[in-house]
Amino acid sequence: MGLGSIIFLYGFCPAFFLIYYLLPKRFRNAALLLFSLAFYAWGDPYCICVLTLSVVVNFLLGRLLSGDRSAGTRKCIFVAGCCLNILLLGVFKYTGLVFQTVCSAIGIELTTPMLPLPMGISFYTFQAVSFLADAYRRRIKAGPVGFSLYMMMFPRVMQGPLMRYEDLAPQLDARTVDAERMAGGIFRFIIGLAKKVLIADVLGTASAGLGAVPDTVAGAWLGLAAYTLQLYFDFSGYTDMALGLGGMMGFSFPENFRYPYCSRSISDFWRRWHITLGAWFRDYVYFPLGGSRTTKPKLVRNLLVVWLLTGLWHGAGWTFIIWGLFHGVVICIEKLAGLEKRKIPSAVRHIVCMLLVMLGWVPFRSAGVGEMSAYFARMFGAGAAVDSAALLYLHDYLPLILIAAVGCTPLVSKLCSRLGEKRPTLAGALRCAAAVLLLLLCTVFLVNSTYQPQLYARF
Amino acid sequence: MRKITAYLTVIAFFGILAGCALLGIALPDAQSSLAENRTLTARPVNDLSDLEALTENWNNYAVDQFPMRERLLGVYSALELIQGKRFARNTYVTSDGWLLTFPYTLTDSSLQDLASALEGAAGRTGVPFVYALLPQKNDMLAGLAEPYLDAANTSSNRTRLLDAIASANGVTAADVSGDFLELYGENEAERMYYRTDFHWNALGAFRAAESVAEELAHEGIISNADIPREDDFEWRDLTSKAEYMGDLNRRFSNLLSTREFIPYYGVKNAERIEYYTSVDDSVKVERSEIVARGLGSTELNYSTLSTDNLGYFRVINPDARSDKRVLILKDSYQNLTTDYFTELFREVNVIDPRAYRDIPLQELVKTRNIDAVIFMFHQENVSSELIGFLNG
Repeated sequence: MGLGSIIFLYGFCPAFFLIYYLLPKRFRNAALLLFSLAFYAWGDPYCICVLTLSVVVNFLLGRLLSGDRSAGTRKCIFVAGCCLNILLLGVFKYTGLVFQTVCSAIGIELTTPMLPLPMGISFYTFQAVSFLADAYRRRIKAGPVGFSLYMMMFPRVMQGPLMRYEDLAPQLDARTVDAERMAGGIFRFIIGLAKKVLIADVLGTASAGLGAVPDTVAGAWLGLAAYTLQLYFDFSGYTDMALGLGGMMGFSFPENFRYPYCSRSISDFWRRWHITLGAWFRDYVYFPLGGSRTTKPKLVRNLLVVWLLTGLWHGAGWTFIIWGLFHGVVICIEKLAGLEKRKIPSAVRHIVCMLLVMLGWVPFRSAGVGEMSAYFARMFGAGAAVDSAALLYLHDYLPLILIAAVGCTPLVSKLCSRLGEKRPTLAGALRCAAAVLLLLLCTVFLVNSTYQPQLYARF
Repeated sequence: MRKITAYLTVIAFFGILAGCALLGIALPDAQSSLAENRTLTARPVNDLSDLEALTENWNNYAVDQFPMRERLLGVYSALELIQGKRFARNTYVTSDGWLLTFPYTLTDSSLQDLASALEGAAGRTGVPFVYALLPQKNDMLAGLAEPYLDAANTSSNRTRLLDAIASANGVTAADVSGDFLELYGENEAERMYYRTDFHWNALGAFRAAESVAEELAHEGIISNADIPREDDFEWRDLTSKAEYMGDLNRRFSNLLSTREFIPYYGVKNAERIEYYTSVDDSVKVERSEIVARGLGSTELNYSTLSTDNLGYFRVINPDARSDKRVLILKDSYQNLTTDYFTELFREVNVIDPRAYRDIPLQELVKTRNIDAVIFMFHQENVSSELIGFLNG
């Protein structure tokens, strides 16, 4: 069950909030945990054992780390904990890639063993490592319910946002919700739902309809533009839904996006796109490796390691490694050449940055290196210029692409804020009306189609 | 004031969620969707042996049985049309309201299978086989959806299908599509197809049947004098008398205009004609039960204006122009040609391989003393059921 599915919206959601708010405050965390378990079990009934195992093991490791033990013992526990988590992720996510690579290296053909990829494993494993690292460094303590919620709370379990246990813990003990905060959460949730259902899924029809490798140059660029916007609205929509649901319960989760397609460099892009993942890699990989306050060769090494791991985190495939390293190399160039500090017109910066981001999405969306190469070839002239399919999709989807492009900027948000400052009553009424209208519109779109899982859910 | 709008937002949100959830529980489950032409998911049986399938079924059930879903599909269609989309509901929508289906490319393997099945069956039965390629709407009217629909695809299907049939010994191809392309321009073709249906209208079907009859005469199966012409039938124009509910319009919850040109033709005197729906004489039916059942109604569709997709039926006309007995294997495009062949042949056996479950071809040809087998399929349809039936 995804956050943008009919069964979640009209089954799970009303049932959960009814019970949650009928219960006394002291039972609400337990209710949230039970519903989170049900949510996960509904989406991935067999792999809930993997999640539960991860929660239990990491909770026990956390207890061991927070106790009075020698530094050496604590280090051993921490390293063992990290290895266990990486092993868990490795077994489920990377067995196929390793097996295929080894087989092709030694020249034999065997059927790749396919293990089911547990829902959200990349996210909850990183949450667990973050917890262990913080427990090791600062001896933080967690209760069983609190830790379980940190790992598997239903709005966050599938796609984050990633956060530190210390940031969540105070909210677990004391959080308040009033009508305004609840309404704010609802509005954020509906905006996220609309981003996913009304924009991302519709643009997904265009990018998928044009094919994995479109037949023409125009089709390839159009498909890539649609995919670029789809990915942003899909993932940021999910984040909005998660933040909105959190807000409806009184939680405050960290932001994950800050208009990434308005970036002026790739380094800037990564300060705005999937912010919590970037922060995780910065805190737990980049800084421990030495960060940027080091020699240039080491800086390059550190950056490439981080971006190789970022690519691998997103998927077990060579295309993801290529995507990660591509971003790493561009960031290295930007840092070494000091491009961010040079005087370059901002329009040029923005256009170059968007081109690089879009080129990066080609390996990201491709099923294999062959498909990626074919896509690049098509984009740069291999094939006819335009065909009936490209014209059709251009005619049918250009208005939405333009609307989505505007939606990637802070323009709408600024206009709303300005209206809120000048005419607060009108702004409030419009907000309420927009929420109802968008919810109904999303429902119309949802009942019309089969559920489209979030793109980032597969990571 | 901010508090009031906040309360209103909360009440509206949970009101809509809970209201729809309660309505969904209270309302009886719908069996099928008219717009989607499919059976809807029924309440799942809680079989715990396959949990993934169980949750998936509940997800589908929640979507399919959402309160007032059929109306919401209509709202979605309206939004698609308002946006001016040229491709919606898997259908091309032209600027003047014509609906065309997504083109289908015939596969080489299906063409080979058809050719070998035809050759084998022709050899086993020992009667002439005539395969009529009927012009599907896209073949004639793809130009209406240009530049968004590539007409080259349909033309390639036709030549490849013709080549496949030509390669089968004992089978003659009647290229009705080719005749239509040669004889009729787009304006004339527009009068032979329903605007909002997948099919042609009675005029198009009549012209095609005439073209098939000419090919049969060319092959010596009938004489030229036997070929029925327009004046031999009773013609009616139902345009002002009924609305036409096209099957492609149904995908859009009939939001496009239901006013269409509705020609109709029928045999002039049906008194002595007999109809059977069994291979033997055990089930005799009235003409009104299987031919143009909806005639007289104010709401018509392709099915109620023609013979439906029955697995088998037989027509005996003692006053026919030819004393030959034919077997027609067909898809829905043939349905509006039944009266034409009733006028022409003494006995017409019609099989729709999708629904036919009776005696095999060779036995049927022998039992009914069939003189010729005619295949009537539109040119994008290489039917796997037909191939299965021919292969026995």
